[in-house]
Formats: sequence, structure tokens, C-alpha cells
Amino acid sequence: MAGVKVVVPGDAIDAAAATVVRLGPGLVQAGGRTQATAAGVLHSDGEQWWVVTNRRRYVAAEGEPVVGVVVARHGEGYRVDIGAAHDALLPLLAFEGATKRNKPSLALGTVVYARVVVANSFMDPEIECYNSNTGKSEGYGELAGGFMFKCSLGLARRLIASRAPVLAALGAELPFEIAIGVNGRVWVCADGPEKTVLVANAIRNSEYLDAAQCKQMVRELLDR
Amino acid sequence: MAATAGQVAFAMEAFRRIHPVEFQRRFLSQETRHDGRAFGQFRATQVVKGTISSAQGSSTVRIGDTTVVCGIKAEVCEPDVRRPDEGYLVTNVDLSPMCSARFRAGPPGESAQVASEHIFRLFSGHVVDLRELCIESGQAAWVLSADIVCVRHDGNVLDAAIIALMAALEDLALPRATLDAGAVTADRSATTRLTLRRRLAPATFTLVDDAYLVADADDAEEQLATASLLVVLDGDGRLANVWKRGAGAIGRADIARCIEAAAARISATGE
Amino acid sequence: MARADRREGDQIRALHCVLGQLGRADGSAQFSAGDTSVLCGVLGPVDVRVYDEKLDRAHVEVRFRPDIGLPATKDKWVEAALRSTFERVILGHLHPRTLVQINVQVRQGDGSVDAAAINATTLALVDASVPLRTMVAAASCAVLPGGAVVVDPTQEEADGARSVHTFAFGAGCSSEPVYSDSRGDFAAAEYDACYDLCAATAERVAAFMRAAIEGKVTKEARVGA
Repeated sequence: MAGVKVVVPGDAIDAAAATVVRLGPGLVQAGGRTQATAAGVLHSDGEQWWVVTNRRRYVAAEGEPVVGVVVARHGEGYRVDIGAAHDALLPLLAFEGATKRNKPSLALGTVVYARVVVANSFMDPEIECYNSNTGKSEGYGELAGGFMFKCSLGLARRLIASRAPVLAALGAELPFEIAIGVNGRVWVCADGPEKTVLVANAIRNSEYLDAAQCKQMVRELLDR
Repeated sequence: MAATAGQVAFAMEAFRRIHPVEFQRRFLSQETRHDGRAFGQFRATQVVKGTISSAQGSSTVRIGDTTVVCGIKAEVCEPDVRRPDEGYLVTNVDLSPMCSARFRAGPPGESAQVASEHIFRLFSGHVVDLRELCIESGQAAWVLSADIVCVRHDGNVLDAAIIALMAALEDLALPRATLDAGAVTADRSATTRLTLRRRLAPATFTLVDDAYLVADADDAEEQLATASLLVVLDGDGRLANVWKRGAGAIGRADIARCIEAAAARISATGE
Repeated sequence: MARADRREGDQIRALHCVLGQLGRADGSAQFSAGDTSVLCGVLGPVDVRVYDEKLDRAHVEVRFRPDIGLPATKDKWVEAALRSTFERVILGHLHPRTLVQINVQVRQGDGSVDAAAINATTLALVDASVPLRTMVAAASCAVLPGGAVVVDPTQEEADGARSVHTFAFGAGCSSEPVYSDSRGDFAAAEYDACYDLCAATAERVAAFMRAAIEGKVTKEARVGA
């Protein structure tokens, strides 16, 4: 891995080459110098700089897909646990085709796939299960059946970016549905509980494995 | 004229209450403090020994408006089996709602517990020779319960508490105790004084608003403190404790200056 | 002056650390120096009690558990010291209305526990990716009755010492300690000598902690590429 620049908190970042610099996660400007606030790999495209970290606690950011669990129902919407510091608000009407008269009724404990629409540090996050521009669900909504588990945020990001060899290895062997939240929660559903648990275990095992190792690990799970 | 002066006083009081940070900054940026002291100036300290007749040793200490009363009660108990020749010193700092509205009634809060523990670490064994508290090895020993009660909190309570405990220990008169047939008899007519190993004298410096290092901060200044440095010296000018609290920046050069200032103050007030 | 464990005066005990071993914490670290070992788990940013909620920054809570017995007043003292050290190292304004909870458990105490607790806390905070201003590293030393200064004292050495000193510094910032506690019977010159020794030692500890973190990040980056 040549060319990977690892930074730890307090490291000064020399971003002076570019005139306009945008700082992403893991970087702050303090006292005229730019420094890292988290340990991770420094990335840059010349203008934008950010640090890729692996963590377990989710901090909500706008536009990100998340998997959450309904924990309460209020007059105006549901409270959904998305693993962040505060529960997210899911308005009753934030579903495809929902009207005042006809809206989905979610029981407590229901798993939903949603997108973060409001995220700032001073307000509780807000999520919705449809695209408010098109009115279509675009895959978001209640996740019925299946199984939800937690993983590191780094693994979730790799899964969703289709850079995780484990999904290819699993997909070659058996059909399954998957919903990946960048909040480190993954929902899977396969043909029957045994297969679902197998898929979940395979994904959880895959954090530090490469493509060949993933293939072998999936094979071993299937042969068991 | 009188009305105008009254209005100014009122406006100042309102400013102090509404914007305490800005109020203090106006003074500090002019190299002075809201009570007229210079940065390195301590408040007048008053020590009176023997203020509680029912305690074996006591004192009352005032630093400016901060008032602390210390009483030491001596009781007999069995020594620890691991240390049969030693007695105990128990320190307890009480910061009740009586001294400041910031404290709550009930079990001691964190600042009271930290002060109790810090004073215990400074005194137990280092100032009080615990072997001197032994009456009969493995059978009976004195336990000195030092209760340090803050009556009025106007900053720098830790200094006041250390001075008060030191004075109360000097005031302490232990009855001569003897062990006869399993029972301890104390002869109140014949008392002994403890030989204290060191005479501790504290000085606290506080970093206010991250920029101004002041000596002996009062309550208003402590509210804006980001760090503080406690320097404790003994009568021979040797250090007993240098303790920095808070993450504000007190640099090495500042620490050296504070140690010098503490030594200068102690030699000036030392009798 | 020979030490019981045959170390040189400025020699620290073997350092060891494990990152992320606690499955339910957001970040965790175990830091060991010889027989002293401290485990720290960090949760955060998480939901905060209304009573502790601060509108402009995160609330930092520290719980310190001793290796033997129930938490007592002496542990409250350490809690307060850790909190006041890390309150401003953590960039709390980035996560207002939240809680950063630091749980410190002494696994085995054999001197220099305060320094090990600070080091473990730094590592656990980094492991949890809580935003930090800098990485704090701590070191202890003791002045023995003969006047010799020894670094990273064992409990036996600390018990017999004339004075014990603990300092913590931010990375590359040895002129400004973020934590400093010296107690016992010492002269100003001894304080200076201990300061220098602890600053140099903290730098070595910082390099060790940095290497541990870089190792973990590199390992994760390799599979992610």
C-alpha cells in the first residue's frame, strides 16, 4: 500500500498548495493551520481533503442511506433508532404514496430503510422513506422479515460502494436481498432463516478478508 | 451627583450580572482585577486557632470573603492489621449549599470529594506521622477526623482548607491515653501536641479566560477559569505539591514563575 | 543505582497495547506498561441525560474503576483529573448535546497508574474516532530517597519515593503540560529534572501509541482498497 498517508489527531495537513480548499470529515482549521481530528487515511483530489476513518458510532449526514428501528410513534411521525446520538424523526407522510388518510402503519420494532434529509448537530436528524422530488420510494421503506445486524461503519461503506468481495462471493452461491445503511446496520433476507443467518455471518466475518479468502470463507459456511 | 453615582453603580452591577465574562475581561485586559488587586496579589489571610472548644483542635481561616472552619475530633479505634503501629487521619471537606448556591444538599459532590482526597494525600503520613497516633500497637490508636467546613465560598477554597487543617493540627491537643485491661483511658488534664513533620503553605494560581494568570482567584474569576495551579511549599522552601487542574495552557515558564511567586509569598507571610 | 527490575533510571517498562477489543464500546484500548495495565472503553457521541446536556458542546463523563474494591473517593480524584485533562482535548463543540463517556478500568496496578490511564484513554478516544485536538501522552517518574530519578516507577518504587511526578503532554508540545501532578518532598531543581525526564519519556510513549494506531489504520486501509 504505497502512497497511503495515515494521519492521527493533531497532525498538520499541508493543504496550502491549492488556493481553495474544502475540508471534509476528520479535518478542522484551527489557529491558521489545518489539522486532523481523527486517525485514518488522508484523501485529497487537490481541492477537497478528507480523512477516511473506521468507527462504530454513526454521526448522521444528509443524503446517506440508513437502516433503523422504529422505537416510538408520535402524532406527527415515528422515532427511529439509527445508531446516532439522537433518534431520527420519520414523518408519517414520508412514504411513497402516503396521504393523510392512507399512510403506512409501522409497529414498534419495525426495521426501515431510509435516507437522512436533515442532519445537523443542533437538531435531531430527520429521515424519509421516499424521494420527495419524485415521490417514488426508490427502494426505501419498511424491511419486512429478514434479519438486521450491526457492523463497523467502514465495512458498511465498502459494502455499499460494491467494493466488498464478500457480496460477489455470496451472490455467486445463493440469492438474497440486502439493505445496507452507512450507519453500520445491514439488513439481509434470504430463503429461510438458515440462509439468512449464513449471509449475515459471512458479511460479519469478511471485515479483514480479501477476495480469495472471502470466497473460501463462504464456501466453508455453505459446506457446514 | 449622588443619583448619577448610584446609576453608574447600578449599571455596573447589571453589566456584571448580565455579562460576567465581558465584565471580567474589561478589567483583565487592563492588567487589573475587578476587586482592584494586581494579577499577582493575594487577598488578606486571617487564621484564628482554637475556635471550636468542643473539638480537640480547630481553626477558622478567612481568605478575603472565603471562610473555612476546621475541627479535628480525636477518637480511639483499632489499628489496621497491616499497619498495627499507625493511627488514621481522615479528611472531609464539606461544600454545602450554605457556602454557595452552586452546591447541592446531599452526599458530597465531586469538587468536595476531590478536595478531601487531595488534602488527605498531602497530609496523611507527610505532615502527620501516623505512628505518633498509636496508643498500643495492634490494640488501640487515634483516628483524627478532620472536618473542613466551608462557611462562605468566594474562591480558592482549597488553599483555605489546607491552611485551616495545618492550623488545626498545630492547635490539636491529644489527651494522654493509656490502655488498661482492654479499655483506653484518656487523661484530659495531660495533653500532648503532635510533632508535625512539615508546615505546609499553599498558593493557587488560576488561568482566567485562557489568557490571564492570576493569584488567589475569587469566585467570579474561578467561574471563568480554564486551569489552575496549586503550589504547596513547606517551611524549608521545599515543594510538597505542584498540581495543575484543567486543560488550559499553563506553560513551563508560567509554572516556574508561580513556584517563585508562591515561595515569595510564603516567606513574606511566614512568621 | 540499580533498580529492583534491573532497569536503567530512564528506562520504561515494556509497553503493550490492544485497540478495539471491546465489542460493545464505540472505541476501546488496553494500555500496559510492565505489570500496570489499564483498559478504557469509550462511548460517544451518544444521547445525553437532560441534566447534563450542554447546548454548545459535548458533555464528557469519566468513570474510573480500581483494580481492587469498589470505587472510592481516591478514584473520584482520578476521574476529575482525567476529565479536566480530556475535556478540552476532545473537540466537543463538533457534537453539541451529546455525551462522550469514558470508562476506565484498572486491570492491574503496579505504579504509574495515572499515566497509564491517560494513555489508555487517548488510545480509546482515537479508536472511537472522537474528534481530538491532539494526542495526549503521559509519563511518571519518582525521586528515590537517594536522590536518583527513575522513570515509570513500580508501586514499590513509588511507595518508597521521596516524590512522585506525573506529566501529560499534547503531541510535540513539551513546553505546556496538559496535566501535571507532583507530590512529596522535592526542590524546584528536582521538579525541573523530572519535567525534562517525563517530557522525553512521554515523547517515546507518544511514538509508540502513534505506531499502534497507524498499524490498525493501515490494516483496515489494505482490505478497503
